[in-house]
Amino acid sequence: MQSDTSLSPLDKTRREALGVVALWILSCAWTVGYSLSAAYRQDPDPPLLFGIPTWVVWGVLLPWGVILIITCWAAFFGIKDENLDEDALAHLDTAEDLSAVEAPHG
Amino acid sequence: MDSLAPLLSLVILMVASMVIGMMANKASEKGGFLKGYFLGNRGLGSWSMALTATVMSGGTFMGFPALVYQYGWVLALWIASYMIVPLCTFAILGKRMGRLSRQTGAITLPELLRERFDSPSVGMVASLLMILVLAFGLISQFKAGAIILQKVLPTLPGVDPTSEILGQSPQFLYGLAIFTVVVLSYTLYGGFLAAVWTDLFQSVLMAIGILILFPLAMQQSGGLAAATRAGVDAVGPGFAYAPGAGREFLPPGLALSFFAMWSIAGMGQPASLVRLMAFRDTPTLRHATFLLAVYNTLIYLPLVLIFICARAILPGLERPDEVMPSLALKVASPWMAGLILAAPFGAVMATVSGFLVQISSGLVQDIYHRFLNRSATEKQLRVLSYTGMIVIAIAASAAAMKSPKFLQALIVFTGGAAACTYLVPAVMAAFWPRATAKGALSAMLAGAGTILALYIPGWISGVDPGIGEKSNFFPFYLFGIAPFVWGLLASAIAGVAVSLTDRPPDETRVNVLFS
Repeated sequence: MQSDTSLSPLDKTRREALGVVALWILSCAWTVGYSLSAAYRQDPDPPLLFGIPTWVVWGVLLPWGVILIITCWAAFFGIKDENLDEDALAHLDTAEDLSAVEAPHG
Repeated sequence: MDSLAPLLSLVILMVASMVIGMMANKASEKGGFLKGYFLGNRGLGSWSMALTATVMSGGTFMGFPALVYQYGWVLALWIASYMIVPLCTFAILGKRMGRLSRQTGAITLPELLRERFDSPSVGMVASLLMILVLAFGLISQFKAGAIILQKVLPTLPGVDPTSEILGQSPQFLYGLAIFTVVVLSYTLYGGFLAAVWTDLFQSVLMAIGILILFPLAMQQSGGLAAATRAGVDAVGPGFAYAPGAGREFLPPGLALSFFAMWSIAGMGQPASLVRLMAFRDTPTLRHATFLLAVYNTLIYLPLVLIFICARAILPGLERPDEVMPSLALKVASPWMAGLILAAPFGAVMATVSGFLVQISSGLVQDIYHRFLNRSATEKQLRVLSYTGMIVIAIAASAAAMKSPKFLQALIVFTGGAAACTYLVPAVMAAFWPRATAKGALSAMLAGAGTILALYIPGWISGVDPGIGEKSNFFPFYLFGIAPFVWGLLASAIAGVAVSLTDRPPDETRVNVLFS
């Protein structure tokens, strides 16, 4: 795998996006997969944990907690910063700037 | 005095929103009218991004509680994908949309797509579809606002509250009129920044409202275990299990569909995408990801628990859409209820103001200024922006009198339609240099066309498919999967296939945007 420093901003963003897609697939497989196996029943006396049906605890709350931790890690360490200063970016010469209608305020 | 407390709380909220609108107006004046009014001069901070860029709306605080009340614990599975919404919304498209909007100088989403693909047709179609979808979405929000107000407004003197005017109670119409005037006033005055700042202010109120309501509901229901058992006794074991109480609300195909719906559809909402063009810098984006993850956890999970408890506190409620205001008025003191009610009311106001700004920007910047009058003066643009907002708000307000029984059905349709239209073109624009204008156009039309094709037969026939939400607004669930999934699939296939068969895009433009 290439090191971070040798990657262009676009490649870094692509890599982060693919990471999120992989995490989405995992969270979907866990939540929907577990719920399919445990939630589709009709027990008149459902097993509860802290008053919550156990399938909700293991199929929704637990993955939610795990994803929350991963999201916090990504926000502080995983996602790389990029210089988006308008002066530092290449601009399209062909783009028509219709936003420059200046307001005579006051 | 106590009977007026909920109303006074809402009045204070409305006045505060108007003050924020005035402050936003001042802040917007720093740059040119268009960039300031429609994009806040690209200066959004972390809190504004986190608490205003996703799909929280009247649906979150009115429609969703109604579904929890009606169908039970299965709603935890229905909204489970909110766990990954912050990463999907900010980490996939955030940096690329921020960069592309700066490189192209785009102020609106259609403008960004037009410049990225160098095609006026792409911009025009994107604008027209956006106006159509968002105008439709406004209807449910106006209805939600009126429902809350009618609960707290005093009865009009000389009017029989049980009478009907145009098929609605006088209280509903009275609430609808007040709501329309207030939300229009501050949005007209402050534009994009007013929408974002009031959204932020109201999002904080929502969190406070939920956190107050949670212990009160737990206490009055006797706890979650007692509430769950009361629900099971009242409507059967389906209350504690999937697919839901009394109906196949969430069969396996729809469970998978809705996991995709909230996390993926959220990325494709025009209101979310335009905020990705307006954030200040990438640390802002990262911090917003963290804040939204915490906020979603504090909002959505307690909402499920609160309205499970509502089954025990308010058994047999005839109109489930009214469960939020009814519960607040039942469990809290009048002043506290007013504060709690400010949460859903704030959510609705924030959504409406955001939609109005998007529609107005589409009309003014993307159609009038771009195609009809390139040399328009600021005064002309300003007048047209205001007129467009007023006309759309009045039309949506009128349509709210005839909207479906369940708000969430409309919200799912508009959210899905917007995502099917914009998500694939936005991803193609951001990550795929080979994507072409014809590909983007095909993706938009195929996505929007597919979702309409799956909804229209349901509207016409009115036949209940027996799964999903009970409403008078049924889609056709092809193979038991929600229309949104088919629309997104059709959009992706059309976008990729047409791009690959089309001539490659201009290399110079692609090199600049993908450097």
